[in-house]
Amino acid sequence: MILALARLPLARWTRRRRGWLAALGWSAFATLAAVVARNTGYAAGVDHVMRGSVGVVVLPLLTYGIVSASLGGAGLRASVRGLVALGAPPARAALASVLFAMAASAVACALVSALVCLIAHGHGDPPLLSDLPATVCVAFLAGGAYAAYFGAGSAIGRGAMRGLFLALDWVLGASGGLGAILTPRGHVMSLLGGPLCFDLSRRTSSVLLVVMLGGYLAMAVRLGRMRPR
Amino acid sequence: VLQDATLTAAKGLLAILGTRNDSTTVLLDLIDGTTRPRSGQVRVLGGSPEAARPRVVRVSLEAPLPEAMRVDEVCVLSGELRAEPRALARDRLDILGAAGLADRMVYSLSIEERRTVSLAIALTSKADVVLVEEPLASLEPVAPRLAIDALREKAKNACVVATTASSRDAAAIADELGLLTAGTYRPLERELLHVGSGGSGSLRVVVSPSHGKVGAASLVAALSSEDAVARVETAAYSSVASVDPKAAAETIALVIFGPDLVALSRAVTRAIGATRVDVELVEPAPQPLDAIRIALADRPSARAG
Repeated sequence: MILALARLPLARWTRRRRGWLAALGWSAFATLAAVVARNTGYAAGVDHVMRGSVGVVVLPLLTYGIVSASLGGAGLRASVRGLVALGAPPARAALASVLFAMAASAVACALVSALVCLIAHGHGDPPLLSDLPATVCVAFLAGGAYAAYFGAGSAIGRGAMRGLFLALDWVLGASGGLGAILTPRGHVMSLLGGPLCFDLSRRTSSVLLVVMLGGYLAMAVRLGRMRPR
Repeated sequence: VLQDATLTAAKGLLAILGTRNDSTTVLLDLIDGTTRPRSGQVRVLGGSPEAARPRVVRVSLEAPLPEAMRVDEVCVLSGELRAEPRALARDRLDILGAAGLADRMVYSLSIEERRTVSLAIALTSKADVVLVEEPLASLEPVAPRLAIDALREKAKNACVVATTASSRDAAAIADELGLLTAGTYRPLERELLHVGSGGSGSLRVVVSPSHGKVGAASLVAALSSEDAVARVETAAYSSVASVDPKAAAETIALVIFGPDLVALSRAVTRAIGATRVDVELVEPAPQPLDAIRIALADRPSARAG
């Protein structure tokens, strides 16, 4: 049933311009940043781009765009109204929508990161054979966690909280304080080689990202199962 | 808010008269599990509304459908979600004459088209409970005529609950009637649709196109001398059974009001006989919703209660 229900977010993503434009736009931006880093001659080009424009801007906004497109620009509950009217259980409809957004975001973030890695790799970066899979794995996890996080934001009220969650991620995640534990940014930056998030080890940050992924998904489904008229 | 609503619906078609302000939507929300009652109990198919959810289908006024999908894809998805045997989308939609919408994207549909699709899906589903808001309103032009038969057919094997503010629509489809007034539900006898307070009522006379305006005028002249007639109005003839819009435009309907429906019937019969006007139809005209409420409130049992 989940696969059947995922047809709607897939159709929204593939048939509406909103989904493609966001993904292509942010991918192009990341590629441009990588090309600039390569041409500038950064020794650790991947580190520079991933911890800079990609980690801070592209990963969250690419995911935000994908989540928004998967939900048709609406809140989670409003986005599953049509499915619920056809007889889908609201919780499963919400689960299918958020799971699709998580999968699409994870894959998109991983692909963009792989592209950045290949283009911007410099002699100061770790060997490409080890750097590429590590970067791709972090981006994959970051994409999934960000999508679950924005999915939870979309399930609150009419969906406008999605934007607030993005702002919170930037504000709290950048501070490195206690609040950074609750948002993906601090952990993602830590895993990309940046400062530790609230002095937690990178292993703990990766575990917390996985916990965040499941926790925010559960929160989105729980809030999204309340059926709209 | 629903405050006093006790009703049981079985196989057949229960039409509940009332507006959204009377909590008709809340009543359907309770049945399909969208809302939980603060007090009291709702049982659907012997269990909770949530448990019965896969066997309940609802057509609301907004008729939300997955906007990024094609109509035929929506029909297929609906069947899969309810584990129904696969049926051709065009066949499902054709029940309301909407097969032509099968290839359209949902976001391109008007609200009337969307409601027609929703109703067609509901009526061709295997659901045991069908909840419909305004079953004959906001539909494609040919759909209301077909919807009456389709609703009746569905009601043979399912419990169909329809809410409507139109007493005429309720009279056209219902096996049983109910009235929801400011959140209070009462069963409604069919005669109350037609007989107003103190036995008053109205008759609708449809003059055939062959006699047209001249026939209608002579009929009005004959009725003007009858004591049983209080007033006569011309009305647009937009019968749900009319298919040809040109013929419908040439047909004139008179609505004749009187304080005593029985005397009014005799007077109208006399007038038709005297003028020899060719009429297509004489039927009691359903009372407006407010008149039904007044008639119900005026009944001795209502006063005692």
